[in-house]
Order: sequence, then C-alpha cells, then structure tokens
Amino acid sequence: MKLYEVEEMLQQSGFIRFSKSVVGNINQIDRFELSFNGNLCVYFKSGSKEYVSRKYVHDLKSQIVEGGEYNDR
Amino acid sequence: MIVEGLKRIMIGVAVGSLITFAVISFMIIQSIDSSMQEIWKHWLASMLIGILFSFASAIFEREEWSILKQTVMHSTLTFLVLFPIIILAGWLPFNPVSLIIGLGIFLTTYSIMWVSMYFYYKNVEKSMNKCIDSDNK
Repeated sequence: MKLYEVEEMLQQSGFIRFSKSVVGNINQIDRFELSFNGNLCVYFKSGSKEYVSRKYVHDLKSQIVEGGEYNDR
Repeated sequence: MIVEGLKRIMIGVAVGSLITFAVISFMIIQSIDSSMQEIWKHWLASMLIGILFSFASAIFEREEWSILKQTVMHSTLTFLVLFPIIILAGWLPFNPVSLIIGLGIFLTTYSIMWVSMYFYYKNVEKSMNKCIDSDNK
C-alpha cells in the first residue's frame, strides 16, 4: 500500500500529509515549533515529533486555520 | 535529467537575453552608443548569470534540506560563479573597496532573504498554534 493511498483512506478521519513520509492526525497535534535551521517541527500529543516539509505547509495551514471542524467523528 | 538541464539552460538564456534586450532598447532610446564587442560581452555575462540562477533554484526544491542549508548552499554556489562572471564582465571593478562593497551587498541580500523566510514560517507556526490552542480549550 502506498502512503498516498493511506492518506486518501484516512482523510475523512482528520489525517493529513505532513511530509513525503508522514501522515498524521490533525486533531492530535500538541504544537508546532520552528527550529533554528528553519524546519517546522510538529509535536503530537503522544509525544512524537515529526517535520513538516514546506511542500505541505500551505495545505496544512489552511486545513488548521480555516478548517474549523476536521471531520472529528 | 538531461531534459531538465536543457530546460534550465533555455530559461537562463531567455531571461538573460530579455534583460540584455531591455538594456539595449534603453540605450537606443537614450541614443547611447556602444561597440559590438561590448554588447557581446555583457550579453554573454547576462546569459551565464541567467543559467546560474536557473540551476541554483533547484537547491530550493530540495525539501530534505533545511532553509538554512538551502540558503548557505545557494549563496556559496552563487558566490563561486557570480563573482568571477561580474568581475570578468567589468560590472564589479577588481579593487579592494569595490570587492568589499560587492560582498556586503551580496551578504545583505542573502541575510534579508533568510530572515524573511524565517519570519514567514514563524508566523505560520504562530497562527497554527493559536488555532490548536483554541481548539483544545
């Protein structure tokens, strides 16, 4: 199974693409942090940490800022 | 790979030539005379610089590099290629004062670029954190 297939499958449950190799739940984000070298890190409530690649930042931001309800149910 | 390289060369040549055309047009309107040799030299330099930036922009497409690494790599490449071209073309006079001023402009440009990108993403971070905080309450 390809990651984009997983992404499509989980789209309805609030999952979104963070980078080439990461799909994560938008409702489980604790916070974002910009590191010194300009990488945008995302910390999940579970404690795990991933990077957001710039290719996906825009979509992620519009999803979080304008999305409101992220298909929580 | 070869196609991509050719595409970048063509874009560089096109942009460099367009700028040269604009400058020559301005010279014609202002009735400024120049020799064929002079125009050839500056046109060549414009095209080479066009090709340089056309290729260098690929650095910013490397998503796995941080912005810092991209900026450092881009500036190093530009420095190594751009300075010989502009010195040989006579755009930057080859004396200590000019070289220091040239280097100053160069570093300032990259610093502004780096700082603007940093603050852009800082803002993105802030606005996303704000939304997440208000959701968690």
